[in-house]
Amino acid sequence: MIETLLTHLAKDLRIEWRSKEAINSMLFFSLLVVVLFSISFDPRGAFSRDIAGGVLCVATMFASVSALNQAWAREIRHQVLDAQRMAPTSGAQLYLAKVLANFFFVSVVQILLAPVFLVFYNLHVLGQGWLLLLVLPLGTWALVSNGIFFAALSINSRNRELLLPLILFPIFTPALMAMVNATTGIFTGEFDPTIWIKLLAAYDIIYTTVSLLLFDTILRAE
Amino acid sequence: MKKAVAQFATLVPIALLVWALYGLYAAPAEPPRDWRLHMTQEQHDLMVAPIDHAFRVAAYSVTWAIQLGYLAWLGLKWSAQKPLAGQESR
Amino acid sequence: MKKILFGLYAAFSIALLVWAFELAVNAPAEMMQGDAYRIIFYHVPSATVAFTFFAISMAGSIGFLVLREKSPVKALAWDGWAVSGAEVGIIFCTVVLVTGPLWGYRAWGIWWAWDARLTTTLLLWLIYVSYLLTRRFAAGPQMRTSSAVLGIFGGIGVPIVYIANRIPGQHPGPVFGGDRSSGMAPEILRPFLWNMAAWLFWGILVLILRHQYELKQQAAAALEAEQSLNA
Repeated sequence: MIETLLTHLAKDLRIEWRSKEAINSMLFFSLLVVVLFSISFDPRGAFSRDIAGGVLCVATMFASVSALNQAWAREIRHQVLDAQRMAPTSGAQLYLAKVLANFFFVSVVQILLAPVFLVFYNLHVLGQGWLLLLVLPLGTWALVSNGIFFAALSINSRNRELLLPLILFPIFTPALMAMVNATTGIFTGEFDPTIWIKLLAAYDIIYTTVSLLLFDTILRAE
Repeated sequence: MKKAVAQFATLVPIALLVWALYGLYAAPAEPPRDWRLHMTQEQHDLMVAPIDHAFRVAAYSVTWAIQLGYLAWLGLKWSAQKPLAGQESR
Repeated sequence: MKKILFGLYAAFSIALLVWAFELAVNAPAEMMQGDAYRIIFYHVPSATVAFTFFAISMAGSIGFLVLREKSPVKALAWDGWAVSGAEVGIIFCTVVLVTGPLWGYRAWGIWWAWDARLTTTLLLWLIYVSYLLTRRFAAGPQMRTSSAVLGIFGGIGVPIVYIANRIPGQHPGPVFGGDRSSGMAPEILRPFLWNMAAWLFWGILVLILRHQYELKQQAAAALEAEQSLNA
């Protein structure tokens, strides 16, 4: 079972390594979003710490939508998805592998973007900065796990690229709230982000479980 | 006849909505923030009453504009259904 | 026969609404917010109806997913309730989201606040609108399955949002009333309960109409499929 998972994962990572299309598009798009927000809101001092958490999360959201849209497009070409459906493995492994791969890609983008972000916003982290290493992966996991699931759900619809953000963003909002509040708490140091981190972790567990249970339904929906 | 009913059904919610918006627009001005310096509580309440009334009326009209508008839309879609479906026994 | 019963039910609902309106208009005005508080008489019932219908929609989604392999006909009926509940729920939720700010502005001076109730209501509205959009955009037989799954996701998200908002944080919102039944004066409680009943009856009326339309749509689609098979 774990071999299937690793096979899927290796496949996705290898394809991405050869083309690098997801990471490049995400990197550039999130950079653009950060610049646009900086121009629009002119972050200075305390104000920049207040909004930096929100900007980071929203930039990640918009950037990952472009990657998520492509995530399943690769499978549709050459009827790979049909082959996946016919394989005797459960869809949950395919789903988990895709989530892990895309989680890796988005995390890479976040790591590359972090110094740019710190520079543009002149950020001095006043709270417990190391907690960011907990919050950002949890938030990214929430985004990617939901995003991959709904990208698969909208795969057969007419306006695939439009439908994904319309479905994803309302459902992702609780995680967004938790992530923004937690990062703002860390940046400003004004309140304790622990409970928001717990909420984010709970969201991740609940939604990943439900997604794993329901993915086969989506995959073999016909 | 059917067309007249349909037209009436769509006009009523729109009329309600326009009436609500006009009521809000035409509501008298609110008392200033420092009204306690200029008037008593009773005077303030008298000033505020028509504004409250306008909001109340607007809210109720909008509620029915939404409800009747939805019913009108549903009715239009219902009558646009192909007559073949009518042959199915209920 | 069914039509006569339905007509009677409709007439009764409308009579109930008129009676409830009379009570609401004549309710005493001694509450602290002045006359604008009367919006509570249809704001809170509409919210109750909206949440109830969203729950019906989620139940319909679950029922459809469970039954679609074993008995497709029954599953289709459940799916009909899912979409009807969602659509009529959105209508009532829109009423709540429009009348709420109108009341809030007169009573508290602000149009909106990001506290538990308001954010949850807005989120619910957005989720179920995206549910309807999925039904519109998704093609083919997967449409019902996809939207049913989405309905479940949306349903479990709502309590999470509600809990998230109740956490005291950087932005404490004003405590909006709404569930004042514990502290409601009996002169207000009586018209309030009548209004609750009236709007519930009206909501069920609209829901039944929408469901009937959905059944006709399903029958038409099935007929079309049959004809194209035989052609």
